[in-house]
Amino acid sequence: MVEYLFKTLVIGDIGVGKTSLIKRYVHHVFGSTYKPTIGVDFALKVINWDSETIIRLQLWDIAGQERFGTMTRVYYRDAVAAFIVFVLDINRNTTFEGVRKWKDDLDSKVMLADGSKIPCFLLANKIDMLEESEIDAKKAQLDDFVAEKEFAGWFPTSAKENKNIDRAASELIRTIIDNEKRLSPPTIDDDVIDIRSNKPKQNEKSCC
Amino acid sequence: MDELPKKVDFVVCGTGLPCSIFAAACARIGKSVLQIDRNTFYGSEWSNFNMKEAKSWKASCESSKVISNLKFTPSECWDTFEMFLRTEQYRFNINVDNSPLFSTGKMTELLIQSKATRYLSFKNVASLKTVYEDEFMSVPASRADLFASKRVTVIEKRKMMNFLTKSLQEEPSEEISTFDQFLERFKLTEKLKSFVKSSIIFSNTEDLSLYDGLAKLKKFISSLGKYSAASAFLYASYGSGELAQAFARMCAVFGGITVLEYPLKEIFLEDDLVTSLSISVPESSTPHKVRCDHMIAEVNYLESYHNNTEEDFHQVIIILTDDDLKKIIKDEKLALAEDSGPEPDHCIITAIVDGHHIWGLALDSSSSTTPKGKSIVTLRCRHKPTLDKFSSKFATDSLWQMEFTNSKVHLNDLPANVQVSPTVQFDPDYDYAVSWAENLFKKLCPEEEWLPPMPEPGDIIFPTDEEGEKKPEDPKDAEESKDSTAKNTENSSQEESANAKET
Repeated sequence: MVEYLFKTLVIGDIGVGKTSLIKRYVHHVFGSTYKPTIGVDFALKVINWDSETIIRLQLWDIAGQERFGTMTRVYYRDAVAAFIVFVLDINRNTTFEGVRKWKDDLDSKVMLADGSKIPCFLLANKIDMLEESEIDAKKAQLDDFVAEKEFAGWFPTSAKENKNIDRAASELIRTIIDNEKRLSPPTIDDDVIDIRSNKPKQNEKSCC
Repeated sequence: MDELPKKVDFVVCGTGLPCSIFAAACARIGKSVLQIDRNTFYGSEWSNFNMKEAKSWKASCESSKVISNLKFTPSECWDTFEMFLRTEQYRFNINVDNSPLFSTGKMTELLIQSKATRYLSFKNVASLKTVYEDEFMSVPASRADLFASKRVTVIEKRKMMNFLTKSLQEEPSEEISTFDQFLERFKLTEKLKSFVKSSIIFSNTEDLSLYDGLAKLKKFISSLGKYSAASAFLYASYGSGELAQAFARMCAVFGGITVLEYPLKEIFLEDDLVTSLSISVPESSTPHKVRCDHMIAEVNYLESYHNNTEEDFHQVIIILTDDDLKKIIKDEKLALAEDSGPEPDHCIITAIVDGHHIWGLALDSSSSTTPKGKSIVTLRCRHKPTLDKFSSKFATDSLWQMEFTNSKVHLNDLPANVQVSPTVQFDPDYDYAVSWAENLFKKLCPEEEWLPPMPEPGDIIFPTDEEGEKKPEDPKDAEESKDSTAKNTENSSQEESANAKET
C-alpha cells in the first residue's frame, strides 16, 4: 500500500467561491452565506485512489485576509498542484485579469523539483448562475487562455450544484501522480526531521 | 479591493520576526490586528529573498536606521542574476539574518506549541566547525565527535568530557562571578577554552557573568541530542527568513490583515497616547486612517523618536560562491583538518580571531537556499576589519557578495501605548524575539492564552447550509463558529472518500 501526501492550493480573488468548493469537495456541504475564512489553514481529504494507493490531499485555502495581495511564501512552498478559481462573467469581455495575476504569482513562487511549473487547473465557478449556451459561447476563449497561460486545463464548476468538482480533483490528482512518476525516483529527504513531538496521527483509523 | 479596517485593537508596523510573532498571537485569540509594512517583502531585517528581489532590499536599506553600509559585490548584483538559468534563479534564498535554532530553544518550542511547524521543515545542522589557529576542524562537543577527533589529545578528550558532563552540576561558588573564572576550574587547555567560547556558548566576552554563561551552556547541552546525538541545532529549510512568514500566515489565517508597501505616514496623539495612524495607500493620494488601542512598531517606523545609533552593532557578510562547500573548505588557506569528519554539506562555522568572535552558517543546496553546486556562507562579527580578513578565505570564488552593518537604535520616550520591537541580535537563535513578543502579549492581553495550538484540519466542523443561514446577521455568529472549529468531530473528510475515482 502506497500513501501519498499532496499539498495543493486553492487560490483566486475574494468571493469566487474557493471555500465553498473546498467544503463541497471535502465535507459535502454547501453554505450560501458568505463568511470570511477564519482559523482554517487547509482541508484534508483522504482518497482511496486504487487498491494500492491512498492519497491524503491537503487543500490550502488562502486566508480571506490575504486578499490585499500579499501572499506569504510559506503558503506556496512545496505545493505540487493548484486550482485557480474565478467567476465567468458572460456580460463583459473577459480579461482574466485576476487569474493572470494569480498565475504569475504562483509560477514565481513555487515550482516542481525539475524547475517546471506546477500543474494548475482553472475553475470557472458558479456556473449554476449561467445557461449552458452561455458557457459554450465562452469555451473557445477559455481554451485559448488556458493554453496561453500554461494551465493544465479548465473546468466549469458549481459548488452549489456539485458540478465537476470531483472530476476536476481527479484530474488534478492524476496529473500529480504522473509528475511524481516522471520526476522519479521520489526523493524522500531523509534529513528532514519531524520536530512535532507527541503529535497524534490524525484520521489514521479508517484509512487502513 | 476591500477597505482596510478603520478601527483595530493593534496596529503592528513591520513584518519582522518579533512583530510577526506578536501579531499572530493577537490574531490567534481573536483580537483585531492590522499589520503594515513599508517594504515590498515580508520580514524586515529577518527577511529572505531571491537575487532579483535584492533590489527591493537595497531600496529598503537606504531609508533604514538599523541597516547601514550596505554594499554589494558586484555592485549591480541583480544583473548577475541573469547569468543563472531561469530554473535556478528562484532557488536562491538570501537570508539577511540567517540563524540556526537550538533544538530546545524558545523558538523551537513555540513552533511546536503553536503548530506553526506545519509551515516549515527542519534539518539538523550536520556539523559544528571552528577555525582554530587557521585550521578548520570539528568542535568535539558530543561524545562521538570527541572520540573521533584527532585534533585533541587524550587528556584533552577527558577534560572536555568532564566539562560537558559535570559543568552544569557544579555547585555555584561565592568567589566566582564570571564565566571565565568558572572555566578555570576545569583546567581546560587554550584550545578547549576556545571551543567552548566560540562554539558552545557563542560568546567571547571577557566579563560574561557566570549566570549568563551557564544559561548559554545549559541551552547548548540540553539541545545536544534532542534530535541528533551530534547536533544541538536545527536549520529551517529555505532559511530562518521563513519564520516571520510562517507567523504572518498564521496571523492571516486567524483574521489578521497584513499589507505590504503601505508605509506609515503620520502618528496622531492625544494626551501622550496614540489614537490613530495614517497609512499611505499605494497608487492612491488619500492615506488610510485607522484608530487603534496600541501601536507596536519596529524602529524604522518611529523615526521621530530616534535619538542616536548605539555603539552596539555587528557586521554581516553573505557570500555566494560557485563551488560546493567541500571545495571552499579545502581552500589552501584553510587547511581541512583530517579529522573533520564526513564532508559537510552544511555547517555552523565559528572562530575567535584577534579576540573577536565570528560565527555563521555555510549552506549548500540541501538547505534549499541555493541551486545545486552553489554555496552560501553567512558570517557575522562585531568587528568589521576582523570579519573582512576572515571572510576573504571563503570569498576567493565568490559570485556575489553582500555586506552590511546591523545597529541598535536608541529611542526617546515613547507614548504609553507604543511598543518598539527588538532589532536583530548577534547571538544565534531567536530567544529575544520570542521573549519580547510573549512578555508584551502577557502585558497587553493578560487573561489570554499565548499562542495555543492551531486546530488540525480534521478537527474543524463546517456548519451545514441550514445552520449557516439561521442567523446570518448575528454578530455573535462569527464568534460561535470560531469556537466550533476547535471541537472534535468524526472523520468527516473520510466519508465517501472514494468519490474521486468516478470520472
